[in-house]
Amino acid sequence: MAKLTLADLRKMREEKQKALDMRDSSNKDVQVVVGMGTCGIAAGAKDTFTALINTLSEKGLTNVLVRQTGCMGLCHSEPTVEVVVPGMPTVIYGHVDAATAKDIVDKHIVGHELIEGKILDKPSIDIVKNA
Amino acid sequence: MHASLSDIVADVAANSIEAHAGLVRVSVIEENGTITLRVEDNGKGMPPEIVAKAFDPFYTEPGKHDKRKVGMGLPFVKQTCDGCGGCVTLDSKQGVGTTLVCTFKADNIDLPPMGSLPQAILSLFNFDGDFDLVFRHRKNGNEYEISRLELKDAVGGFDSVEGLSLAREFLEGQEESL
Repeated sequence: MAKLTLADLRKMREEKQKALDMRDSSNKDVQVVVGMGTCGIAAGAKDTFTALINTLSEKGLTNVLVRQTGCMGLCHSEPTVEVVVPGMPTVIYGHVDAATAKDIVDKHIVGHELIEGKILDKPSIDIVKNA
Repeated sequence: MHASLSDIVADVAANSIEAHAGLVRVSVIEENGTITLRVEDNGKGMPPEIVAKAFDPFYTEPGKHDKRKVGMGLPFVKQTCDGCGGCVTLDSKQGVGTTLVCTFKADNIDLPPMGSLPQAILSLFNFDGDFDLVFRHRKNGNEYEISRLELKDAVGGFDSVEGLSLAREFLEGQEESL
């Protein structure tokens, strides 16, 4: 891979932006939040994060905001990913490896289907109280 | 425990971000057979009595999670160091900031792999907030340094997948040039 400069990045960004402007890109109404506390990192959340970015990029989805957060209180089921899609219940998925991350994009975000066997309950009570 | 040194970088620097640091400096220096990880922030810092307990897995900072009884981040760091003959130092001053330095012998057979630094740094850059994080990687006499705010400006923000993809491409290119 060629070493890029910040000037290269600005130019690439402008070119990508032109292509994006030609699409019907709505506001970012979908949020995906990856748990990146100690527990998440130890369980492979960085790979989960990368898989999400790769799949979203491949699909050309422009309405998705991907963020990190700390521990969601579900250390036993890391990596965890919270998904917020308008018109669907907000859910937290657990044990999200790269394959499940791809499923989240394909099935939940694009297909509007929940993924069976991976949905967890709300964050633990101390996290909810702190929120 | 963490599987790679880049996991340690991601975990420790995330602590700095959560401590409301405005500036976090992260460096990975690989030279003369030694690997040094350094995370320095100007966050809220810790008083000596908390620094003394920071490596205790059955202690976590009050107020972070009210009912949580464990804090595994720094104990994992210490466990990794203990497991491969490395050492870790933690200096902190309340209201000033915190510095953590880990040093490892690069040829220790039990040393975890470096892992993906671009993944770690990108995940740190993508935390919400106005903080800056300056990352420096020096290896075999070559080095690069990148500021989160500079990169954020260049890619048009991390709010889009396009911005994140460009930022990752940049970081991977820098790594390959070392």
